[in-house]
Order: sequence, then C-alpha cells, then structure tokens
Amino acid sequence: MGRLSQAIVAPLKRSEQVIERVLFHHRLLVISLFALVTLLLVWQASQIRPDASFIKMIPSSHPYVENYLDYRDDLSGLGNSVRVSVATTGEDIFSTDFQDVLRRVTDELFFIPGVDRSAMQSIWTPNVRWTEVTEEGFVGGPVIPPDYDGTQASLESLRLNVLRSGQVGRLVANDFRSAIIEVPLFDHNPETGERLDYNQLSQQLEELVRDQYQSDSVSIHITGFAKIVGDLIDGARQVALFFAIALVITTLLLYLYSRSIAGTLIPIACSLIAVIWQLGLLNALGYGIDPYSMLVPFLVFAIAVSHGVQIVNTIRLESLQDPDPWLAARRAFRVLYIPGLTALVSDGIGFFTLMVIDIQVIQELAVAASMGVAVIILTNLILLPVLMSYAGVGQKAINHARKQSQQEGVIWQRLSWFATPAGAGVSISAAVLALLYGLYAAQGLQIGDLDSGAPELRADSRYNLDNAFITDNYSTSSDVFVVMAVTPPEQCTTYETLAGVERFQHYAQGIEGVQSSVSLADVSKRVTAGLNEGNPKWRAVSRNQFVINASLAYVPGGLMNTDCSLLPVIIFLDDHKAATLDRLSSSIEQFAANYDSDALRFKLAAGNSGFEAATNQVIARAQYEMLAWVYGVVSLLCLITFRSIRTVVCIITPLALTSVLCQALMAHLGIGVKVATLPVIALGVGIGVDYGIYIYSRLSSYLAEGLALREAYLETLKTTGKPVAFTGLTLAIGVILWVFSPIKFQADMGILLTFMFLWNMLGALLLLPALACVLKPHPGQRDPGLHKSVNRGES
Amino acid sequence: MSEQQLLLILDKDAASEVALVRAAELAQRQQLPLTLLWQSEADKAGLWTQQLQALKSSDIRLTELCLADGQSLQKRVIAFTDQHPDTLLIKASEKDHKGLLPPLDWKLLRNATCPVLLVKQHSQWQGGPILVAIEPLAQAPERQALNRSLLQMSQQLGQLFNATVHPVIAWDTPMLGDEPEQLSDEAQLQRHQNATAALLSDTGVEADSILIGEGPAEHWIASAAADHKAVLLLIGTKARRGIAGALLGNTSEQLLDRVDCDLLVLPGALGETA
Amino acid sequence: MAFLNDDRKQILKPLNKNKKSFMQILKNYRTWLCALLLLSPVAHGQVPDRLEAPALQTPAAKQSLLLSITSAGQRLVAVGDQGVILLSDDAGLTWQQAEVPVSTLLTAVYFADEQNGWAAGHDGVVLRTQDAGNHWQLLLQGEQINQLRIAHYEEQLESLQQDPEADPFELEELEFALEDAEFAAEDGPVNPLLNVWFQDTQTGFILGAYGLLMKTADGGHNWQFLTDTLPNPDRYHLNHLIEHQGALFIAGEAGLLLRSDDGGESWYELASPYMGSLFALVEHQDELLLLGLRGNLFRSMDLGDSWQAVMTGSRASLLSGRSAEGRLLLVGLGGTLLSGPGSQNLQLLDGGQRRALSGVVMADDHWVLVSEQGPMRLPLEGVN
Repeated sequence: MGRLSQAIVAPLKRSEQVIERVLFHHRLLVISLFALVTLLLVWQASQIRPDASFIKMIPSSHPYVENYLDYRDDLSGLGNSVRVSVATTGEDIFSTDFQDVLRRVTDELFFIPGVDRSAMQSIWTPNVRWTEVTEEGFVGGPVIPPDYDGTQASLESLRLNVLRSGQVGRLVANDFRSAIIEVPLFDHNPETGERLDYNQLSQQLEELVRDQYQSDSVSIHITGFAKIVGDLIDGARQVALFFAIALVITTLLLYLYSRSIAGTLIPIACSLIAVIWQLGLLNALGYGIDPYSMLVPFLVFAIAVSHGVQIVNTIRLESLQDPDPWLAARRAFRVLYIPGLTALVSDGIGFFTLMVIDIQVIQELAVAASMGVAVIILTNLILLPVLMSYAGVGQKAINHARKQSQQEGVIWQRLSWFATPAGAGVSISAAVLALLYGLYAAQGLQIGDLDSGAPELRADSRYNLDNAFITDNYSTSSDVFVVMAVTPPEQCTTYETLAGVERFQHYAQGIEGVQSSVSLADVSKRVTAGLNEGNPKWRAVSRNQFVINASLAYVPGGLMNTDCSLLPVIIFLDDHKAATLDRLSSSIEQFAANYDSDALRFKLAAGNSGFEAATNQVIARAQYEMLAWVYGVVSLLCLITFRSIRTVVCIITPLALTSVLCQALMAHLGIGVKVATLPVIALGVGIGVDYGIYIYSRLSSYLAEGLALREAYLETLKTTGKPVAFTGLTLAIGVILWVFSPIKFQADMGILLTFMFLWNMLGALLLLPALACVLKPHPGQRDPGLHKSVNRGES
Repeated sequence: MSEQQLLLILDKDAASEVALVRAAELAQRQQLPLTLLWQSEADKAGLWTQQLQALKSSDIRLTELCLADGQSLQKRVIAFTDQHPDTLLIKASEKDHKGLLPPLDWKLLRNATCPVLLVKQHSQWQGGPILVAIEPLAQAPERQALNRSLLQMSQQLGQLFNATVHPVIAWDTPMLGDEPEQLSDEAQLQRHQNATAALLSDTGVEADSILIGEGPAEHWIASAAADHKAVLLLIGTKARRGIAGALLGNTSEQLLDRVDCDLLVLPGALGETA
Repeated sequence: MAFLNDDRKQILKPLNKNKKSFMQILKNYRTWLCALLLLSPVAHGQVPDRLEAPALQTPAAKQSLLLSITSAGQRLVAVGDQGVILLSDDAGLTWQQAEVPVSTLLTAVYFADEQNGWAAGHDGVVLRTQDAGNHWQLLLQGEQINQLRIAHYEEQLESLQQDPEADPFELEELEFALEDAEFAAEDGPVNPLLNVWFQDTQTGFILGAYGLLMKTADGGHNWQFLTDTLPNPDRYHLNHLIEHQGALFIAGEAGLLLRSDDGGESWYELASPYMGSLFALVEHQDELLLLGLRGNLFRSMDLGDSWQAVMTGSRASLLSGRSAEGRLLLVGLGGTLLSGPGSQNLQLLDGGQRRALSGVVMADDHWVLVSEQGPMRLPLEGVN
C-alpha cells in the first residue's frame, strides 16, 4: 500500500507545486484572465433561454417510447396536447354569444404555431360529427349545422347534434356548461423547424385566448404538459427571487461568522462567478434551462460556498501564524489542495454518472451539474485564494479568530465526546436505528405522480384548479394510455384484427384503474348497429368483410393510419398513479406475450400515461442504478485519495444514511420519485461528501501529530468543524424559506435540500468521528496529555 | 584545472559601485585576476573613476573588456566562461523590472554556467553571518551535489571572511490528505534536522546554528536572512528558462527581490568544485 | 326499413364467389400462421376466435354492453357482449359472472324454469344451462346452422326429385335455395341469432337475421329448420317471439308481423301497423304491445288483428319492455323509460342517463334493467 499510495500522492503534490507557484507569482495575470472569461460568459449566460421539450422528459430508448416514435406520425394527438375548456356562467353553452366566443377561440388556437391543425377537435371543427338512424337510413353531419346563424333554431339544432354526437362528456361537459377544444401539438414549430418554445406557446395561450376572451360570463381553463412547463417557466422569476433571498441570508450569516468583509464578499462573489460560468458554458454548448433543472445553479452556488468558506477559514487560521495575506492565502491553498480537489472531482464525476439514466432531461442535468462543479474548481480553489491574497481577512477577523482559539468552546468539547468509545457507541446505535427506520419508511416511496394534476404546482395554482374543473365536468380522463395494434399493411380492418382488438379491449377494461377504451373496433361495432337502425343487438364486429368496410366508411381521425397497418387502442385511466400504470403495463404485456402474432401485434405505448409508465419503469430501475454509480465513483475517488478502505467507510456511511433518510422523508411527504425529483438524492451526495473529506483530512493530520482521537477531533472541530457546521446551517436556513414558493416543486426541493444539508452536516460531525473511533484504533499515541498547538516555527 | 577568474559586469550607474568594491575585495583576498566587462563604451568613462583608479593602482591583475554595440551581454559572458570555466560572475543587482520580460539579472542567472554574485549592499562580509540555503531531503544526485557545493563554498567564504555559516532550510506547509508522516510538524523538523546534520558531517562543514522554518522557500529564507542580518546568502538554482521560467520562475530570483543582502547563486548544472 | 336492405343481398350474392376465395385465403393463411407460429420464437399464438375462446372472467363484465335479462325463479340472468353472462341472486344488487365457453355477443336469454335456460347470440351461438346458469354448454353454432340449412334443402330436393308430380318451378327454386345455402355456408358463422324462446324444457325456438327460424323438441340438441315455412320472402330479420293467449307472435324488420296458432308449425302474416322495424312484443294483461323504431308503439286487444298507435312523446326506438304486478315499463335507446299502469297512461321518465336500454325485469320492488354499460336498478316509482 505504501508504494501504491506514493505513486498516487506524488503526482498530486507535484501538480500542486506547479500550480501554486504559477498562481501566486502571476496573480494579476490570473485575475485578468478570469475577468476576461467571466465577461465573456456573462454575455453568454445572459442569453440563456428556457428549453423544454416533451420528448426530453421521456426515456427515449425504452421500448414503449421507441414504439411510439416508430409510429409517431400516425399517432397525432396522442403525444402531446393541450386542452382548452371554455365555460359559461349562464345556463348552458347553447347561446349565441357563447358559441361565438367558442368559435373564435377555436380559430385563435388554430393559428398558434406548433398546433397540429388537422388533429384539433372542438364542436366547431369539421371533424366532429353526429350520426343518427332513421327509417331512411343512416344520417350524419358536422355538429355545427352548415346553416348555423346564431338564431334560436340553429341553437336548438346544435343542441340536438351535440346530443347525437356522443361528445357529451368528451368535448362538451356533462352539465352542458362548458366545451373543450383539444389542441394536439407538434414537438417542433412546423414553420421554423425549431423546437417548440413552450414559454412562447404558454404566453400565446394566455394572451390570445385567456386574456382576450375571459370575461364575466366566460371563463377559460387550460391544461396540458405544455401549460405546466409554461407555468413553471413563468414561475422562474419567483424561483430566482427565492434564490436571491437565500443568497442574501448566506452573505449576512457568513459575515457574522467570519467578521471579515473581504472574507465574506470574495467567497460569495467567486461562488456567483461559478454560477455565471456554469450558465454561460451551458448556453455556449447549446443547452438551455429546463424548468426541472432550475435548481442546479443554486446547488452549484451551495457547493461553491461550502468550499469557499473552508478556504477562507483556513486562510484565517493561517493568518494567526502570519498575518501577511499573500502568505496566508498561499499556505491555505496548499493545505486544502488535496481535499478540495478530491471533493470537487468526485462531485463532478459523481454527477456525471447521472448520464446513465436514459432520460434526456436528467442527462442534461448531469452535464450542467458536473460542469458547474468543474467550474467551482477554477473559481473557488484558484481564483478565491488569489483574490484573498490581495485582500486578506482583515484584522478584525484575525482578532476574532485568536479570541476564539483561546476559548475552549464548550460546544466543541461536548461534541468531541462522540469520538470516545462511549460516544461512538451512542452515535452509531442512533445511526443504526435511524437507518432501520429509514429503510422501513422508504418502502413507502412511490414512483411517479401520486396526485392528479400537476404536482410541480400548488393545489390552488391556476393550472391545478383548471385541471380539477375539467376532471369534474367531463367523463374522459386526461390520463390516456395508447396501445398500438400493429398489423401487416392493409390488414387493420380485417375481422380477425378487429375481433382481436375487441377482445383485447375487453381484457384491458377489466384491469383495475381503467375507465374505458376506444378503438376502431368500437367504431365498426357502433356503425354496424347504426346500419341496423341503431339496434344494439347488432353492435358486434361482423364476420363479413363488406359489412366491416361499410361500417368504416367514415373513420374519425386518429384511430387508423393511412396504410392501414396501425390501430391505436386508446385507454382512459382513472388516474396515473404508478401502481395503476404498472399493473396496466404488465397486464398488457402479458396479453401481448400470449397472443401476439405476425397478423396482429400489440405494442405499448403512447399517450401521456403510456409515456409515464415507461418513465416510471426507467426511474424505478434508475433510482438504484444512479445511487450505485454516484456512490461507486465517490468512494473510489476517496479511496484513491486516502488510500484506506476504513477511511472511505467513515466518509461514505454518513452520506448513505442521509440518502436513506431522504427517501424516507420523500415517502413521508408524499413526494413521488419522478424525473424532476430523481436526481435530488444523488445531488445530496455531492453536497455532503465535501464535509466528510474536509473533516477527515484535518482529523488525520492531528492524529499524525500524535494527538489522541478525542483531542485530535476537538481540534478538528475547532478548525474545520466550525465551517462545516456553519455552512450546513446557513445553507439550510437559506433554503428552508423555499417552502413559501408558489412553485410546489421548489417548495418540495426546499424541504429535501434543507434536510440534506442539515443531516449531512450532523453525519459528518457526529457519526464520522464515531466510525473513526470504532474502525481505527490508534496505535502508539504519544503523550496523550500533551495539548499540541498548531504553532510551527524553528526547532 | 583552470585558473579561477572574477568577471565583473559594470555600467555607468552609481549602483555598480558596490559590485566593484566587492569584486575588488574578493580579488584582493584571494589574489584572483579580475576582468571588468563594461556594458557599453560610454560606461567606460564613468564618474567614479576614483575607485577604478584605486583598483588599477592595486596589484590585482585587471583586464578591461567592453561590449560592442549590439552585442548581447549574455553571449559575451558565455564566451568568457567558455574560455575560463572557473569564473565567478559579479554584478550589482538592478532593482527595476521593465515590462513583462525577465530583468537582466534574471536572464544572467538563468543562462550562467558559473556561480553568480549579485551585490546589493555596501556592508562588509567580514564577520558574517553567511546563510546557505540547501535542500537536505532532496533525492536527485544533482541536487545533492549542489547541496555539497553550496556548503563547501560557504565554508570557504566563511573562513575567508571569518563569518559564521548557517544552513537555512525551508520546509513546505503540510498538505491535508498527504501521507501521515508528512503531516506531523515534529516529524518534519526532526527529519530535516537529521538530514542536514548528516550532510554537514558528510561534507565536513562545520556550521553554527541550523535555521529550519516553514515555507514557502522565498518567504522563510528571506525572513531568516532579515532576522539574522545576513551579509550573504548562497543558494542554488534550477535556472528554469523559457515558458517554465515565465510561469514557474526560480526561487533565487524571488529571493533576489526580497533580500537586502548579497546573493550568490550556484547554477544547478554545477558539479563539485574545488 | 334498414339501410342496404334489398340491395345488400343483391350486392353480396354475385360477390360471394370472390368473397369465398378471400375467406378461404384467410383461413388458409391462418392455419399456415398457426403452424409457423408454433415454430416461431417471436410470437406465441394469436388472439383466439370468439367461438373458440371462453368468455373472459373480468370485473369489466359488470360494465359491459348487456342485451337481455330474464328471471329464473329468484335469480336474474343477464347476457351481453363478449360472452358475458351475469347472475344475481339479490334482485340486481350484486352480480357474478358465469362460466361461458364462447365470447360472442349474446343477444337473448330465456329460462323455461329455474334450472333450465338458453342463451343465443352472434355467430349463431346457442348455449344451454341446466343448473340455473352456473354452467353453460354450447349446443349450436353458425356453421352447424349452415349445415342444417343445407341438409334441409338437400332433403327437400331429394324428396321432390323423387316425386313425379313435382312442380319444376318449385324444383328450380329449391335448387336455388340449396345453392344459396351452400354459398352462405362458405361465409362461415356470419349471421346472428336475435332471440330465443322456450315453451317448456324441451320445445323452443331460435330466431335471427335474414329470417332464420329453428325449432327444437329436445331441449336444443336437434333442430328443425323452419325459415322457409315463414311468409318472409325478403328474408327480413326476425327480432322477437312471444306467446300471447295461446298464440305465438313474431315481430321483425320492416314491419314484419307473424302469428302461429299451432305452436309454431305454421305461420301467417298479420297486417302490420308500421313499415319500420319492430323490435319487441310485450304482453300486458289483455293487451299485446308492439315496440318499434323511432318510438313507435302500438297496442292490440284482438291478438294482433288490429292495432292502435300509442303516443309516447319519444322518437327514440323502443327495444324491450316488461309487465309485472300491474305495472308496465318500456325501455329503449337514449335512456328512454316509459312507465305506467297501462299503455294508455305511459309517462316518459327522466332516468338521468342516455344509455341504450335493452331489457328489463322486475325483482324485489325494483326494475332491473340492462344497458350498454351494465345492469341498472330503478325503484318502482321511477326516477325524476
């Protein structure tokens, strides 16, 4: 081990010597370079735009999504759509004024870029029809009578048509007081070819539709993925406000802690520069801000502050020896080089491993986070000491530090008890209990959404109120799971196909959570009955192909593709809970496994619930894969740096405990594991590993000097433990205020991050020494009574 | 073995006077030939001809050389040292750094193949103390050879000027995360102490107190020199040139800027000297 | 009159030839596939044909399209889509699904007594139960009906051919009929049965599309082909058969109304009050009610010789009805409910839904109906 560790440490040390010399002999040059790059990246960062896309949220190589993408062109309207409900306060929708508004809103929506016009559905679009059986035969027509002129007679005619169209509960509310316009969207703007700008779309919906047509008598309700994203992007300003509040609090507390203006402003400035660089680099590489990765800049800030405080603190300690700022900064740089670099590199690589998850949003988050951490290496490990070498911490801070080092610090004395065998026992037992509780509670952790509506927004947000309105007044749910029945070309209307699909639907409708389903088979059956005077006894798939063909003379859009090789079966669900989707997908896969043939194959899945099922499956697996990778990388890097497995255990165990308890907290709060919340725990590992590495490095140095564990730990607390405690508490205080955010997603993250900051801190301060005590009995201590000071000088 | 030479670089600046005095003293005590190298014709006709006269009238073998216009000082120096390998280059140190390029003194230090004495002060070397900066824990044979050369030369000069010799050693601040043996202050000091003692006994040099302190080197050595009011500091140099020189620099150059006493720099390429 | 009525058959006939090869190809294709698939690792099987697959036991059964409901003693039995047969022993509060060997749409069910019942439906399926509906056996299906039809004409042709005084016209007609039957047989079990009725546990009738009528005297094992004994040259669909005051009545498509006074051996046409489809006959005390397309309702007091129209105030087709305990309930498309003590004072009820209601029985002071979304229960006073 000795030879191996030499081989690892030596290059690190050589690199440090080189870098140190270059930095501290060319400070102005370094600062100018940084200034230049910062200016450039500020300009880049100012151009960063929200960048959301439906496809990015779903796992692109999951078989369900691959199937969807294969048939995407044939499945218009089943991917991504917005529902606009126009409601009246009057008696019902059959009034001249209301119909006028409805028509104009339909037109307005028609012209919004990105809307799939041919697939739009509203009683005012020509593809929505009514049918009826008379003695003469089958009659039908568009729901809006061709001679509609707003008169009472026309309205009566309209009312009748609506009743005969079967759209009550679908496009017209059950209570007849509102109507829906289904607006399917393309993933890109067909005119410009660029990705659909959800922010712009949402704004257009607001300006062109809601603002223009909402009035005392008419209310507009809008739901759909695009609207959620739009609202989140709108809420970004709120999110930024809360970041700013956290920033201010951190700055104030940092000043109170360090009593040094330079020692407060410079680390905060460097941390902000790190954030700017990160955003600038993201933009330069062509990425945008996704509403679900809005937290990454704050995380970068938090990690940067954590390191910054450590460095400033060390500078302060070195200043006690020698007040020259240049000297103190240079020494502090050297002292913290290895732990700082290790922590940041392991954070960076650890975050990067999130790339294994097959969801683009998370992959982009991995890039953003690891880039942010890489940037911190430059801004907080390099720029910060250089800047501090000019400014110094100030006399006030030095005096404060001197006074504090002379006091014994009762709190630290008490805490150092955890480094004794008795204390270690208590700490470890408490940790084990917490672990058991956490494991037990974490079983309640759900994948996917637990509530209806958009969990990212508050229950009383406009979106969720709109969603509740639509759910209450209409019969078709917004949770749609589409199974693609695939046949050879021109075979989708054979008896075998339709009968097979019919049986499949019957099977699917028996699965718990399924509300209803619709497919071409239903059309054929109903029209066949229609061709027989509406007699329900004829509502079956005929074995006679000519009868089938006659029944499918007019097929509503979306139930068949042009070369007759695809029949979408649209399944409406009661909810989109993970258990429901899971049950549904495995039941359908079972059916497919039993009954698929070359003539008829059932492929999953499209529709928002289909994608969610795929996403849930990927997340369920990814959850543990992700943690395995992050922990693996971080442990490996710690092992390389510290060259001892027991050390790695001491550092990693408190983090693991935090991860388990965080899962338990999520289960307790009813926060499901989704694309947005999946990376949280991995990010928490990155935040916490810094504490462990710094504390352990310092502890080792005191142990090497010959102090007994308790004394060594006491000194560690006084030097490194303080900034750890400070950072943990400060960031937690800054973040806890997020619970007041109108964006529920931010509020949830606030709680989780607060928990992780605090618990990581506690774990590093209380559990790490306990583990060190238990795992590393110390051979041959020198004078245990000797209380060594940190003075270095001549011998 | 070729004869020892003293080569003194002069220009018309009054600051050069200290170098002249020092060179004269050395030439006197060791009966060495002294060559004056004027940087330009104009310098030759200097103001302080008094000293020069005194020198000329002494029994020191004097040669006067002059740089031709456009001729590079370094090249001339190198030509000289090629001819006379056992030379000591003497110059008064220049204070100012012009622009981004390394100052003349630094260039000389980087390119010299012989020891260079940069004179900063009038005060006598007589009585000392003389400080010699060594790296006792260095492993590479060139460094160890350099250490020995430094010690030997310092002993010679100490005997010559009846000065006390103090080895001065800077040890680097321990890095957290390093090997445990590196982290203990006590162990570090002990190690350095023992290595220095071994080196001293190895070279047969007798030293007065050993000054060991925490680096960076340029800080500790300079502060030790100031504290002890050293008259002369001996140090070796790696003579990094070009990009390495621009980025990393050399400790001897840093010390040149920081210390008030004279600086005698031994190039790293130098092997054992007599 | 139904769409594609006359013309339909004209169109289908000459194309039968092509149709035959198409179907045959499909059939061959299917056998081919089965063989291939047994070897193919990719797909394991295929969705079984609804005649060969037992009805799926599923919770969805209770929300399926149901078309007929009847009482078997205290038990209620309802049948419908995908071979669903539901049984209820608590007057429609809870239902269980019976085990059924086929998955076709069942259109009618009738019990002669508490234990013995028959169900009929699409693909010519006839099922029988002897244990109050817990288990059902398949007695007959479309292919067999086709064969029976062929056998019937072959037999007749034979006997006529042997008769020296046979009318050559009749002979030719029989030959055409036989050819028709053979062509039709190649289509497979295409035609649905629309109703079933049993006199007792042995004697009963099934009727269906294209004027099909068959009679059994042994509970359903053997059947007599009676289609051509009916005065139904256009082969209109036969929708419903009931017994009223000793006579049998059949209502059918395009106003077809038939009566038999000899237990179904021979039938004669009655003057029909309506040219559109007649879906059901309901006996209410002394009256015979006729339910038809577009809300048409007629009553007769004289065994169908004459009919009076009843104003219902509804234009939705009436599909079925029940008379019990002095009350009458008629049901139909669009959630239509007509209720009253008699046909003269029927009131249109607002049931609050627009489902197609296909059948009704009375049980335990409630009307139990079957709709396109499963069974429903209404208190006797109806819903406002």
